[in-house]
Amino acid sequence: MNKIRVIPRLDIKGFNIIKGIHLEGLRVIGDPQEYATKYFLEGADEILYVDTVASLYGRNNLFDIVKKASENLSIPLCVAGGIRSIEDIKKLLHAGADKVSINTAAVQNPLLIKEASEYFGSQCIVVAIDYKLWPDDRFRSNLNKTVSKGKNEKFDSGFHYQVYTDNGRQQTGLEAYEWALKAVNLGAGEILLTSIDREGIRKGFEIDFTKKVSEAVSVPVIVGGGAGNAQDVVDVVKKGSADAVSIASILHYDDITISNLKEFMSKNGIPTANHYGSE
Amino acid sequence: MAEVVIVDYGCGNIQSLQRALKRVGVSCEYTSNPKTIRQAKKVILPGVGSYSTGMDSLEEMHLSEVIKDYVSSGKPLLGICLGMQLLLDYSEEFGRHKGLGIVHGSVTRFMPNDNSKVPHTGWNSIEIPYGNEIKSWNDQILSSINPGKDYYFVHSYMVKTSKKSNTLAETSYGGNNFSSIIRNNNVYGCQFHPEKSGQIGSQFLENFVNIK
Repeated sequence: MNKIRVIPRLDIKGFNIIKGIHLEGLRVIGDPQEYATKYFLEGADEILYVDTVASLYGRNNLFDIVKKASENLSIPLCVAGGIRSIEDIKKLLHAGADKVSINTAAVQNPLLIKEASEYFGSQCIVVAIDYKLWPDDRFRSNLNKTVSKGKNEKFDSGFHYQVYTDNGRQQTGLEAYEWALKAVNLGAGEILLTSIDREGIRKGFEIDFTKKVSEAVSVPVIVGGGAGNAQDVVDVVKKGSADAVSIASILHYDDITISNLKEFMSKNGIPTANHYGSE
Repeated sequence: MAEVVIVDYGCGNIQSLQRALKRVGVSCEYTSNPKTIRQAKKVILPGVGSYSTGMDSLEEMHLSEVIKDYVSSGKPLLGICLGMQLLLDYSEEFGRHKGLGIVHGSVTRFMPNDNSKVPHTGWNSIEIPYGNEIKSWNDQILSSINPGKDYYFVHSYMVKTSKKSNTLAETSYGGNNFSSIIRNNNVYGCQFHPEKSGQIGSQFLENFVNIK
């Protein structure tokens, strides 16, 4: 097995890290720089910054935060939120991002994925897919008409996953598996797959759907939404074939440190990266 | 004059490299000026993107000869990622393309014999090359770095040097062994991104800067 990346996710509103449930109901956690530095020193393999209100305002406001982070942290930084054009990506890379993650704009204009990956290289372009479980696929033609339920039920071909944009606020009518395949065909270098149903509730990741996507695409899949403990991480890697995990609550609330998590993963047969000094 | 000159041939995002050098306290200049490159004390050839685009840019900007001149002066050069691959004889990325031929060997596509995904994206360890014992690890560029440490990689093509002795460190992915650090006299190359590889990455950059 290849080394599984542990990626702290920092949802940012204004100058603060915030954390919610199902991407809503926000609580202030603290200073992004302080948390990012802590996670870096604990052995984070990458850091994901999400501007949670960017889509609402139509622009990303993380330039200063990213610039400061990139001056101090020598691991890849991925930035998400409100990225709509080649110009937006240029600005974020210039500020110090190594990758950008695109959601809303990619749904509105899928060709942006192609243009951006041709311009900057696929390694730079992550497509974020936020999705919810639906009992049927009527959402394809009747937006807002069916009710989201059954999130605790086991995946079977009768269940469907709808893509949401605008940080979980907007239905799209797109089926998440098909959208993932399309995004990769257009040039996405990685897929960030987040279950809105499970996000923030710490009851474990969506495993079956992650596996379905991860085994179908040729690029790494980062899974997010639901880590409640270290065992959940082990499960989604072993049973869900995730290539990387994005984690927020359990780190922000000090349930576990990244070094302890990596140790637990190693004990359970999941290789993790060691990029500390020469000890 | 800056301690390190980074060659600007229009390939890739070098912000993080500049910041990483700054973190280890080294001044750098990003330029395509032939005179500055020839007179530099140390040169880094960075690079992200496709092989042919990289090689074409070097040729169009007349930098291939400049780099070869610099190398023949005996001063240290470090190629990073695509910048390392360009040092080899040729690549098979979208057809066969000639490289700078400064280090003998080839660049070929990963052929994983398991379910490993290509590009190779993420952290992987650098190891003592098979059959090379510990000898390569005595190199100054690996000072204070132990075999088995992890670095950040993003690439679909891999380097193999013709001479075993030109490979200082090897990495394995999808059942393929490739050269992750190479050296031919004063010319070094690394497939990973030291600038994004945490503390152990900074150590590698510092080692390069400290080469006399």
